[in-house]
Amino acid sequence: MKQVEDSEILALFANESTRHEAFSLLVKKYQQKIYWHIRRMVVDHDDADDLVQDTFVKVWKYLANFRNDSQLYTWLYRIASNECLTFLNKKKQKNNVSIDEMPYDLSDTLADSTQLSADKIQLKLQKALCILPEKQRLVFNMKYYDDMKYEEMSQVLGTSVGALKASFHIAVKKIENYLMNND
Amino acid sequence: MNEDWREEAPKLAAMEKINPFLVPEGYFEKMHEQLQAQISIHQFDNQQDFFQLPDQYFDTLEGQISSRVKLEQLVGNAAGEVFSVPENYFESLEDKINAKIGITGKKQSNIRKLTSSWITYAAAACITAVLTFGIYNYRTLKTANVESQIAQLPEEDIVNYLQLYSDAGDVQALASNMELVPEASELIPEISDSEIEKYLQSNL
Repeated sequence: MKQVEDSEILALFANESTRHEAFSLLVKKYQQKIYWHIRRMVVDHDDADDLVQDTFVKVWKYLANFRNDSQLYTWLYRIASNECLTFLNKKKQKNNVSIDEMPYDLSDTLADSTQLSADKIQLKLQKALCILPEKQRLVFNMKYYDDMKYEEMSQVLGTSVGALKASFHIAVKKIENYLMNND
Repeated sequence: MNEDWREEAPKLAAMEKINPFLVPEGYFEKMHEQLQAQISIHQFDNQQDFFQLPDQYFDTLEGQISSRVKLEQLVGNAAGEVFSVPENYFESLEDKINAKIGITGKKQSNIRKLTSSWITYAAAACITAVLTFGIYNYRTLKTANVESQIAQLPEEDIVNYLQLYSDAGDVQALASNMELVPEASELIPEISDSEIEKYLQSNL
């Protein structure tokens, strides 16, 4: 199936009569990428589902104001990332837990067998990811799982390429250390 | 992708890059419908003309609120005291009135008693005496009245009454009274003991 170009989606969305059609194409094209990006951050499916819907509702609301100075998909990732960070901060405040405790809360969700279909090594990797600070985890996920370029990640997170490279390498070292020392 | 990190993290590099998370069946197929529903709700919420407003409503709203606040303040004051009085007004009011009517200070007025105490005691004694005399006369008259009425009854009626209604207690009372009546004690010797015994056996 031929992928619809972003420019075509934006053109259709600009027209009132084809706005819904354009949005439908956009959702179909990006729903899985956005979902997995969010899911890797919040771990729980129901939380991810809520955040995906919130993300696309915001896309619908602000797409008319979208400027072509960035790629559409980095713009979508930016909205989704902000939704994740806001959600995780609210969850921390609600549960009155410190930043250090939060990863173990996610780690508990990982222990739920309905959430994961993975062997022990994959579960260990996900637990290792949970010990990373949220922004560092975002960087690692976008690089490791989505093969995103640092320049694109810079657009998503509003951080310099150099800082992102450093952040990714620190994340890799932490994960390697966790894998080595937790059997 | 820059693969430098593989040398620094061989254990991570050796791992297969897979997605370990599960999603409910048909989730992505239904996602589009769910999003459309969310968008519809969002559009409904944002309909500017859904609620009709009078012209220039917000222009006059501030003035209306100010007027309402002033009115509430007035009503609030009315619930307490509308008028104020000088401090300690009521404490000095009595003195002012007394001064106007010619009474100075708070003199204890001397009111002459119309009756002396011995008259009170004498009156109480009279009332007690009258009441005592009245009660005594009432009881005496009542007793005499009953006795005189019984005296007028024929003896035969009294005997019949006693035969019908007397009990063992009445016998003792009758016997004691009979001792006091000399005529009755004189009659007894004329009746033999056996007759008396028969009488008592048949009647008691």
